[in-house]
Amino acid sequence: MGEIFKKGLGNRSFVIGGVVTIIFILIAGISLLWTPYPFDEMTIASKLKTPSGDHWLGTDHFGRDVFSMMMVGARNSIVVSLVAVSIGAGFGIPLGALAAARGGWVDEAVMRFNDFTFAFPALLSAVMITALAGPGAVNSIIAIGIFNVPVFARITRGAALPIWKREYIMAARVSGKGPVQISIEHVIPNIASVLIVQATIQFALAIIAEAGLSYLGLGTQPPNPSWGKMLSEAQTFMFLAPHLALFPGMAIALMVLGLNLLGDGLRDVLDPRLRRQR
Amino acid sequence: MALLSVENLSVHIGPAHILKDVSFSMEKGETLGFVGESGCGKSITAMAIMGLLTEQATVSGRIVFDGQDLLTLDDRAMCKIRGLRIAMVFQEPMTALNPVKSIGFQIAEGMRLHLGLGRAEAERRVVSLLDRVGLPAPRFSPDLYPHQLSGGQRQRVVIAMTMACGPDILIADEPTTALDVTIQARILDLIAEVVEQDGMGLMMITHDLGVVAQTTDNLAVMYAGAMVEHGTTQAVFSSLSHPYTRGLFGAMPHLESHGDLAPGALLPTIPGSVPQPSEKISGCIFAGRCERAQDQCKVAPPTLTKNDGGHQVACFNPWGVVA
Repeated sequence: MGEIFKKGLGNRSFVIGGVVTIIFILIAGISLLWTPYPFDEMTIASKLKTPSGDHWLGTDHFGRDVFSMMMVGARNSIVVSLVAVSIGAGFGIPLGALAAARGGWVDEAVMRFNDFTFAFPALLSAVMITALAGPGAVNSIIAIGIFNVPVFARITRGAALPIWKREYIMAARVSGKGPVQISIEHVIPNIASVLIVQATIQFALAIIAEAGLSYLGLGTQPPNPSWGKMLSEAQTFMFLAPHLALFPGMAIALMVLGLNLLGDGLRDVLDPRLRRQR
Repeated sequence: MALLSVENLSVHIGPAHILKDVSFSMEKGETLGFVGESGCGKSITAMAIMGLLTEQATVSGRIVFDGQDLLTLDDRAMCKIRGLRIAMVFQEPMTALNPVKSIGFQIAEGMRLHLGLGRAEAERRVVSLLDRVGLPAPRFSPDLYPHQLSGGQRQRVVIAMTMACGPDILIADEPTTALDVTIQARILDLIAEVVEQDGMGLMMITHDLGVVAQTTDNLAVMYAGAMVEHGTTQAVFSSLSHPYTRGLFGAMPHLESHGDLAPGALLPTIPGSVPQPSEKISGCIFAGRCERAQDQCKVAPPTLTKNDGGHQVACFNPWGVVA
């Protein structure tokens, strides 16, 4: 573990991505304990203020402190994305491992189901799911999570198949292990690096998806702030107070950029072979 | 009753007849060698015993181990036999170990699975197993990973894995092919020692006649999926009855030349190549390459019959018999 960390320090995208990600996670964490103002405190008198010493990132049309809202918004984004990716990984990895271990019709069934899910544009279907089930953070988690399942299933199967051809898997079978145990103890540890990298990238995509759903009013509901919702509210005041759109937009872009850099860096650090193949 | 007896074992994969009516038996403590060139069915025989052939394969015959026909057992029951009763050493120690798990974990996994040992007890046994295979503590800790060991050391780890549950039969599938010559001898010594101490039966699969001469009591010669000669290693080596066995032996370089091979002369070879498994051959499968082939050989295949040397040869016109 220490070895990996040392190798990571020499990788620029890993360091930059890691620092950006950690900063956002810290901000989200701090928002649980402290924000400059309560995020839902409205002070109509001081509405649409530009950034100043009192309000670091200005105030919105209700006079709410933008920085406080962004802090809580970071927390909402991260929690929704994290849970959604966990759902995707939690169902997708076992499905993919099962398909690789069993082969035959099980493999066919799992992969065709994947193709079916893939055939729908993820965000559009997430919109459909939240529209049917009603808007809200929980439903957007489920919607984003469902579309992460085939991604993880496919990548797990693809990475696991060549592992199953290795001789140490045969050795494990010869020592009397069943396919489930071999998958857990031998196959998944060997493809963990691929899965970790994919999870990081899916995390970035989930942040975008969450922002998109909130932007459409299908994600996090008021009064809970979210970056996407702030963006859509700021649209009205685009010419009056452009900073209202600027900051949440920048936060989304930065967070996604950071996660992508982290994923790229992780890939190079964990599995140098993949880099050469690109 | 024999510990393991294989009766008329045949394997088909699609149109290809991979293994043709192979029969043999093994007692506890017996060492049986399987020789033959690549693709002659040695490893397929081992995989059939383990029940690990691909699903496309159709298997017929009987593999009776300790009174049970292994071919009738389901996968769950086979899992209780693999590793616990029959263990296997592979050819390539570089790939037979999982690179992301410590050697201690890999040696212990069979014991924890089959013997239900706890972590501490398993760890204690791992240390003593490592010591037995010549990887003593503290230099060789169970926490080492495969990449920290050399090829010979890894093969020792693999042998420790197979010994862990005290199996009745050890199948060694070309255990020394991937190792260099000095290490080969030591690994063979180790296998022989382990097998003798624990009274295991050993099935040694190889294409190296030297290995067989060193380690086995009995010998089976395979050719194109069929067993062409079977007897004590001594009898097979001294009579070289089957033309194929004689060809194999002749094609091996010797220090003191056997027969009248002049220095600098070409090493004799067996002309032609092994028939494709999908080819239909009505007579003896070796007839096309055999210098002693007669008309009779092209009509019907010979069966394994006892010859004068007290061992079985599948040939109408073997060496050492006055025609």
